[in-house]
Amino acid sequence: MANKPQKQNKVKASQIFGDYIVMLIAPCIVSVMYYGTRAAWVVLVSILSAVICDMAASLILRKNFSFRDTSNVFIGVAIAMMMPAGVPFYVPAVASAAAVLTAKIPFGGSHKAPFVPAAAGFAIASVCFKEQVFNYTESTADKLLGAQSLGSLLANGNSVQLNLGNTFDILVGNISGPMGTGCGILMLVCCCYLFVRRKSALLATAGFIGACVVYAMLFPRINASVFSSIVLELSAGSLLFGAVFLITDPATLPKGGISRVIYGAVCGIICMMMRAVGTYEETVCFAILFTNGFSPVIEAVLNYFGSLSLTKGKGALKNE
Amino acid sequence: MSNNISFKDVFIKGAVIYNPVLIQLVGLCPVVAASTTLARAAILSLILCFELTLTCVIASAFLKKTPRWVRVPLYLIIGIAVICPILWFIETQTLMNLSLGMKIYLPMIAVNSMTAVHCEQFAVKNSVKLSFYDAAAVSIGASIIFVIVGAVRELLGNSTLGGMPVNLPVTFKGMALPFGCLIMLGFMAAGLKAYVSRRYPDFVEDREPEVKPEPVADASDEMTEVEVFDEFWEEEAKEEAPEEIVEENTQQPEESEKKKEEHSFGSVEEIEEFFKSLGLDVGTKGDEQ
Amino acid sequence: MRMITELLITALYTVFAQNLVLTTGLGMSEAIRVSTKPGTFGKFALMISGFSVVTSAICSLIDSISAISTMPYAVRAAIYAAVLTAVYLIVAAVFHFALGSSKKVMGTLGIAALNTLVLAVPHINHSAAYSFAGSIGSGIGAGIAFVLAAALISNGSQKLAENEDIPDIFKGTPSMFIYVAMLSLAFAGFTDSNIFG
Repeated sequence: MANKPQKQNKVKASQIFGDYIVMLIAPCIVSVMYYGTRAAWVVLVSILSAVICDMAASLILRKNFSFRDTSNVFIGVAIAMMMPAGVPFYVPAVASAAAVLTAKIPFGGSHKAPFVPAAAGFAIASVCFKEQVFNYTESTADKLLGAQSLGSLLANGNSVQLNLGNTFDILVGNISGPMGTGCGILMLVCCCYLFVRRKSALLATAGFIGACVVYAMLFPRINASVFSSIVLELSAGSLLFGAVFLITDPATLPKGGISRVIYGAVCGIICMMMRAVGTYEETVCFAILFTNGFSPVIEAVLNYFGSLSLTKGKGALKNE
Repeated sequence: MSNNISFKDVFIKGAVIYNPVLIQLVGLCPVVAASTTLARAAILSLILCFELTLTCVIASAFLKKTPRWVRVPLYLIIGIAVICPILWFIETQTLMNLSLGMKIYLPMIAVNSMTAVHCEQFAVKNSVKLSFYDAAAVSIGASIIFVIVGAVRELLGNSTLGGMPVNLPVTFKGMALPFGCLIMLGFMAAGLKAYVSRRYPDFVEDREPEVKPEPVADASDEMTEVEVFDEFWEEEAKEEAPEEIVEENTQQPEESEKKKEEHSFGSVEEIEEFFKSLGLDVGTKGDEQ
Repeated sequence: MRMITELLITALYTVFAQNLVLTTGLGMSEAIRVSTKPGTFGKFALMISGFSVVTSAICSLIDSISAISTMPYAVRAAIYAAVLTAVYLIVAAVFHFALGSSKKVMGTLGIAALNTLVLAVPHINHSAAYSFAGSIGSGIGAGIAFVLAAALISNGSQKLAENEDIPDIFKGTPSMFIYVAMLSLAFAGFTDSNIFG
C-alpha cells in the first residue's frame, strides 16, 4: 500500500499532541467510571508534575515556557493511564517528571526527542517502583478476575475460558489492570480518530498489532485456543494503548511507509519476547524504547535491501 | 619540557575543565557498574588513584623507549601487579566482605581506558614530574565523581549512606542500575558544563588553537605520532567502507559531514586543544593505544 | 549438537538479554569512542570476538583445573590478566613481525584486546559457571554485544549532532550520557538484575 502515493491530511506538528489529548479524553472518562475520583486525582497529579518540571527546567535553561506546548499534558495523561488506579501519588509524579526531565528537555523538546518521553517515564517508574506500578488491587469488587491482571495471568500460564460474557468484560476493560488502557473498544475508536487525522502513523500500529497477533498465535503462553491466546495477549496491560498512543509518536516514527510497518513489527516482537522472558509484566514501553534505539538500524537495513525506492521515492510519506 | 607548570594549573584543567569521566568519557565502566554505594566508590577511587599514579610514573620513567605495542600490555601487568595484592589483602586479611560484583570490577581498573589514555598519550611523552601531576589531577577528578555518584546512588537507591539508614520517603531502585547512573552523569556533565562556561569561559568559547599560545611547548617531535593516529581513524573509516556490515552502509555518504559534526558534539577537540595549549600533546582520540 | 545449542543460547543471552556493554557498563568508554568511527566496526567486531573467545576458552580450560578454581579471587584475577596479556602479545607479535602490520592496525589491535569487556568475560564465565561451549558462546556474544552497542550509540550521536534544539548546556557529552542511559533502560526490560547479582 505504500507503493501508491498516499494522500495525507495536513496536520501541523503542534496539533499532533492536541489530537492525542482529544483522544485521551475517552480513556480518562472510562477510568473515572471504573475507579472513581481516585483515577482523576492520579491524572491530575501526573499532569501537574509534568508541567511544573517543564516550567522549572525552562526557567533554569532560560528558555521561554509556553502553555501551548501540549506535549506535557499528553505525557502526564498517558503515564497516568498506564498506572493502576490505586498507585501512590508519588509514582505517577516521579514518572512524569522523569519523562520530562530525562527524555524531553535534554533533547530539546518532544518534537526532537529520540525516545518517546512517556514510554521512558513509565519504564523508569516500572524499574524503580515495580511493586507499586504492577499492584492492581484497587476496587476489585466487580472485576472479572479479582485482583489478578491479564498480564500476570498470562505470565503464570493460566487461562480463562472465554465465553460471551467475559469476552465482553475483557473488551470493555472491566478487568484489573492499568486504569485507562483496558478498554479495547475505545482503543479502536481512538484508532479511527487517528485514521482520520494521521493515516500514515497507523502503519506502525498495524505492524505492531500484526506482529503481536502472529507471535501470540505461534508461541501461546497459555494452554487454550489460538483465538483466546490472541485476545488475551492483546488485551493484557497497555499493549493496545502503546500501539495507538506511544508508537505513533511523530518524532520517533521512521519516514518511509514500509519502514513504519517494520518498525511496528519489530517493536511488537520485542514486546512479546520481553513478556515471555523479561521480569516485568508490562513491556510495551521498554519495547518502544528499544525500537527507538534501533530505528536508524532498521532504516539502514531496509535501504540496503533495495527498498530505497519505497522509502525515499514515490512511495515515501510526507514528513509530518 | 619546562617544569614551570604548577600543580594547580594541571589540576584545574585535568580534573575540572576536562574531567576524565564527565567530559573525556573515560573510565565509565567502574563508575557505571560498580559505584553503587559510598563504600564501594571510596574503595574504587582509592585504588584508582594509587594505580593510575603509579603506572603513569613508571611509564614516564622507564617505558619511553619501549615500542608501543609492547608498552600497552605492560600497563595491564603493572596495574594487575598493584591491584591483585590489594585485593588479596582485602579478601584475606580484613573482615571486609566484598561482593562478587565488586570483586570483578577491581581488576578491571587495570585495563581502564583512563590508564591507557593518560599513560600512552601523556606519561610516555613527558617528564616524571608532569606525569605525576597529570595522573594525580585526573585520578582526583575521577574520584570526586565516583564518590558523589556512589553517595547519591546509595542514598536514593537504598536509603542508606555509608551503610547508615537514612529515612527517605521514596526509594528509587533504578538508581542501582546502570541507566540511573548514566542519567545522573548526564546531569552532572551538564552542570559542569554550565559551571565551566561561567567560570572559565575561555575554554568554551576560544576554540581556535592560536588563541592560547602558552609558553610551554617543545613537544613538536612527539606530535607527529598522534597526528598520524588521528588521521588513521579517518582514513581507515573510508577505506573500510565497501566491506562494511549492512547497518553502516548508509552512513557512508555522510561520513565527511559527520566528521565535522563530531567536533561540535565532542569534547575531543577541546581536550586536544587544552593539552596542546599546555604544549603536551595528548589527544583523546589517541585512545587507540 | 547440545554444545552448539548451548553456545548459541549463551551468545544470544550475552547480546540481548544481558548486553554486556549496556547493562553492565563493561567497555562502555571504548564503545562510545569507537562509535564515532562507524567505518571500523567490522574490524572491531572480529578482533574483540577473537580475543574474547580465545581468552575465555583458555581461561575456561584453566578453570577446570580444580586447584585453580578454588584459589582466592585475587590469584584468579591475576591468571586471567596474564592469559589476556599473553594472547595479546602473541597476536601482536604475529601481526608485527610476520604480517608487518602498520602502526595503525596495531593500535586497533591494542584497544580491541586490552579493554574491560574482554578481561571481564572469563570472570563472568566463572561466576555464571558456563561450560566450555558456553564460554565460547559468551566470548562471541561479547564481541557482538560490543559492536551492537557501538552501532546504537553511533546512530544516537549522529542524531544528537543533527539536533539543533538541544539546550546549550546539554550539547555534547551530557545528551550523549542520557541517550546511552535510555538505551540501557530499554535493555533493562529484559531483566532487572545485574549479572553479578
